[in-house]
Amino acid sequence: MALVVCNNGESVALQYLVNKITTTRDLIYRLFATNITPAETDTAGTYTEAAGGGYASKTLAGASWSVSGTAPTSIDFAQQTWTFTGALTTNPTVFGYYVTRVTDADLILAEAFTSFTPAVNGDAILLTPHITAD
Amino acid sequence: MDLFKSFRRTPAMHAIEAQAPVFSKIAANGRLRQGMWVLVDNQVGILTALGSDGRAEIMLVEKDGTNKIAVIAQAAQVHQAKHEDIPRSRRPTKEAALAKGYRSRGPH
Repeated sequence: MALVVCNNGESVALQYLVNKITTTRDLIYRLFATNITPAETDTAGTYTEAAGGGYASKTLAGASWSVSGTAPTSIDFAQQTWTFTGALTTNPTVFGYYVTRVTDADLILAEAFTSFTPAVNGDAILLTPHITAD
Repeated sequence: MDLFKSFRRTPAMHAIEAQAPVFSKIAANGRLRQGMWVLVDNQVGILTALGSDGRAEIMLVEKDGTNKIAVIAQAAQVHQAKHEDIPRSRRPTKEAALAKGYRSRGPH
């Protein structure tokens, strides 16, 4: 399913571009555990983050992204692996991921993917962060 | 027989490739955007894809904003939802909604 940059994400990107926001932030990749489709009007509060089963969000250091290509230009990060120790404790199934900024904790983008229900120690979700501007 | 072992399964790996592009091109005469709240056949949903063949993929949603069912429709039959159509739990303020073109139905 397509990735959605929410309204706030668009605003933040534009403000970074013109140096209106001078303090940039690392992004935090989080898994959400409610069966929803991302919408442009969403906020961070729209999403219920996964909990339990060894889950923890992942903060991606800005310096470690790699830019490549022209028209389109992409930016990539090393594959991230969430390895679970067992079932989640609130909602059992992961339906996608959403991205917030460190400190500000505001929503930037979200994407649903084929749902996955961790059940046993060693179950894992592998995500390769990838953003393209075309 | 090791009964416990018989119920164990190999840990599963679920690999995801994040999708692109972020700054998606507006399609269908500029009326529709991915992630937009829309109405199709008087049902509210979220536009998830627009094809070059004029077809739109929409995830219809329940009253609580969770997924109901994905449907395909002709883009011409898809319209931006009104502010009141957006499920309450996911509804932005009137001002924020209006900035993205979600008008109110107004008094009848």
